[in-house]
Amino acid sequence: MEIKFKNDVYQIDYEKNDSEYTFNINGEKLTIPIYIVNDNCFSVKINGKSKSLYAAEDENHLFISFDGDSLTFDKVKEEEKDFSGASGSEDKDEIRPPMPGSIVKVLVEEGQQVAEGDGVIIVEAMKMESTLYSAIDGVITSVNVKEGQQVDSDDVLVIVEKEQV
Amino acid sequence: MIKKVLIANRSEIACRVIRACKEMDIETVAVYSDVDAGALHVQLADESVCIGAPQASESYLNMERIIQTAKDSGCDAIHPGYGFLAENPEFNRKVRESGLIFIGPEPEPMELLGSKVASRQTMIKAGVPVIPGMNGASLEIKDFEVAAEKMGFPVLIKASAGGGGKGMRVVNESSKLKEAVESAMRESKSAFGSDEVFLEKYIESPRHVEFQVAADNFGNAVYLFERECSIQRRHQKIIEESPSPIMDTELQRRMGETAVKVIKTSNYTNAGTVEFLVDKDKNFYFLEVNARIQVEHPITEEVTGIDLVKLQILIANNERMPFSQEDLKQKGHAIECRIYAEDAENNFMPSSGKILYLKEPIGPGVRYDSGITTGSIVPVFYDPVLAKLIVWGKDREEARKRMILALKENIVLGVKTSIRFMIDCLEHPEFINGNTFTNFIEINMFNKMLPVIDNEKIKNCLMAANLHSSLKNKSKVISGENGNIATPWQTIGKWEICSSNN
Repeated sequence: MEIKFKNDVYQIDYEKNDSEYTFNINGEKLTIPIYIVNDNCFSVKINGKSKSLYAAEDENHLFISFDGDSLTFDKVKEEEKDFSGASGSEDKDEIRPPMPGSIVKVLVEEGQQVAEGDGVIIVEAMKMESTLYSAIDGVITSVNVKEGQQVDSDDVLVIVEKEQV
Repeated sequence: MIKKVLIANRSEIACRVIRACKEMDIETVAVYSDVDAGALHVQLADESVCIGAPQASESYLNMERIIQTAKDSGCDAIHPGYGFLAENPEFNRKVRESGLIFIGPEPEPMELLGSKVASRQTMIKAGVPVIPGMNGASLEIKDFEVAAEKMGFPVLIKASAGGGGKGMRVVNESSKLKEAVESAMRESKSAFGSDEVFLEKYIESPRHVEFQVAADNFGNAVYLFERECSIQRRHQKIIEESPSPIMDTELQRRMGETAVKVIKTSNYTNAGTVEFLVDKDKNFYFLEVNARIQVEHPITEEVTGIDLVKLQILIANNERMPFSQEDLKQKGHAIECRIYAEDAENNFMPSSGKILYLKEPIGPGVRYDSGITTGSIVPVFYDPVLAKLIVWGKDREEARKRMILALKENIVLGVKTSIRFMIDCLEHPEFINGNTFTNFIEINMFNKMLPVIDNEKIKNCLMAANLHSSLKNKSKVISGENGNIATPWQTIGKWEICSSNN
C-alpha cells in the first residue's frame, strides 16, 4: 500500500511468518514480532521492549497512536498516484478553511499583491476566529466567498498565484 | 424535593450531572440536537428529548423549547451545566417563572457578576483588590486609546459578557489596538451576543488561582480551597491542579476569606468560583465570578472528597450546608487535563469528526469524566471538549507521574487531540518546579508546537497502519516475495492466516 505522512510518501507491504512480520518500507526490510490483540490494537516488541500500537481508519486517513503520540497518515488513492506532486505547486496557493465554519472578514480583493505570511481571510469555527495566511508571495487571482458565508473544509476560499515574470 | 431534573447541556458535563442525579435517586431527562442523537449523555439519561437543529441557537440555547420540554416531561428542576445557558440570567428567570427550580444562583447575582464591569465596581466598593483598568463599558475606539495610554501597554481587551477566553486579546503597542478591539468585539458578539468589551492592565507572568465557593439559602458560605489553572492556550485552561504550587496556609486563608466576601457581597448562593490573578509577590486581584459549575470542578472534589454537583442539588433543594469551613480539608494533590478535539500543531485549531477508537485510561487515582465513546461524533457546532482526565496522588509529584501514564494510556483515534502536548507540558522542568504562569505555554512550549517525530516512530506507526489496513480491507493484501499484486486466491489465503487467533 501507499500512504503519506505530511509530505512524504511511503510504499509499504508485509509478509507474515508465524508470529513475525517482515515489513518492506520503501525498500527497507524490518522484521518484528507482533501479536494482534484486535483489529485496532497490536502488541509489538521493539528492541526487546513491549509496546502497544493502536490503529483506526476512515475513508481518507489512517490514525495511529504510539507511546503518547498520535500520527495521521493520508491514504494515497489510485487516482492521485499519477498526479503526485501536482497538488503541491509552489506557484499557487489555494486557501481552504481548516474545518467547516463561516467567513468573518475577507482581508484582500482580487488583483491585490500579497506577501508570504500576509493574512488573507478570517474564518470562525467552533466560536473561534482564525486568520488564514498566504503561503507564497503573489497576487490574489480569485476571492470565492463573502463575509457571513458558511463554508466547508474542502472549499477554496481564496487563490493566490505567483506573478509570471 | 427535586425528583426529576432536565439537564440543559451535552457532552461530559451532562453525563456528570446525570450520574450525580442517579446517585441521589433523581430521574433525569437529557435534551439533544439532531447531531447528538447517539451522544453519550442521551444514552445515560432515563429519558431524552430532541430539541432541534444542530446550531446551538436552535437547540441548546433555545430557552422556550428547553423549559417546555422540562414541563412536558414532568421535571421539577433544570441543571444548566456550564456554557450554553448556564450563566444567562434571562434563562434563569424564565425557568423560575415557569415554576421550575434552577440549579444554580439567583438571577440577580448572576446578572451582576455576569457583567465584568458591574461586578468590578461592586468589588472595589467592598474593598476587594482588583486589577487597574478602564472603568465602565465603552464602544468608542478613542476611549480605548486614551485608557490604554493611561495605564500603559501591554493591555488586555476583555469581553464584558465573556468567559473561556473568547473575545480576549493582549495588545503590546498602540498601533495594534484598533484592530484588536474590533476583532474582540466581533468575537464577543458572535459568542455572547454582545460586543461590549473593556480594557485592563495586563499583568505579566501571573498565576490564575481560583477558589471554589458554596453558599446555602441560610447565610452559610464556605470556600473549598483553590485550583491553579495557569496552563492555558488561547486564554483557555488546559491543565489545572489543586493545591496551587505557590499556596501557603496564610495566603490560602486570606484568599479564601476574600472569595467568601465576594459571594456574600453579591448575595450569591449555590456553588460558584471566584477567580483571581496572583502576581510573583503573592498579591492577588479579583478577576470574576463564574456563576456555574466549572469544567475543572473534579480536582476540588478529589482533594476535598465533596461531590460538588450533589452539593448544588442539595442547596437548590433549600437544604442547609452539610459542613462548616472547619470541616473542610485539602488532602493530597489532584491534576486535570482537558482532552479537547484540537490540533496542538496548528494553533490548537478545533478538530471535528468521528471517534474511531477510544481507550479510557485506568489505574489507581485515575478518573475519566467523558462525553464520548468509540463511534461518537464530534460535531463542528460546539465546544470540542471530549473528556477530562483527572488524577489524584498523595503529593504533586505522584499526581504528575500518574497523569503522564494516564495520558499515554488514553488512546483517542479519529480526531486530533493535545494529549502529546500535555505530556510535554507535564514533563517540562518549569512545570515540575511549579513555575506555572499563565504564559507558560507561550514561553516554554512554543518550540514544541511542531514536535519532531523521529524516523523510528514513523516506521513503527507505518507498520501498524499497514497491518490495520490489511486486516480491515481483506482484499488489498499484497503477497509474494516479488511484491506482485496478489491473486484473489492468494489474498484469501493470506487473510485466513492473519485473522486466525494465534
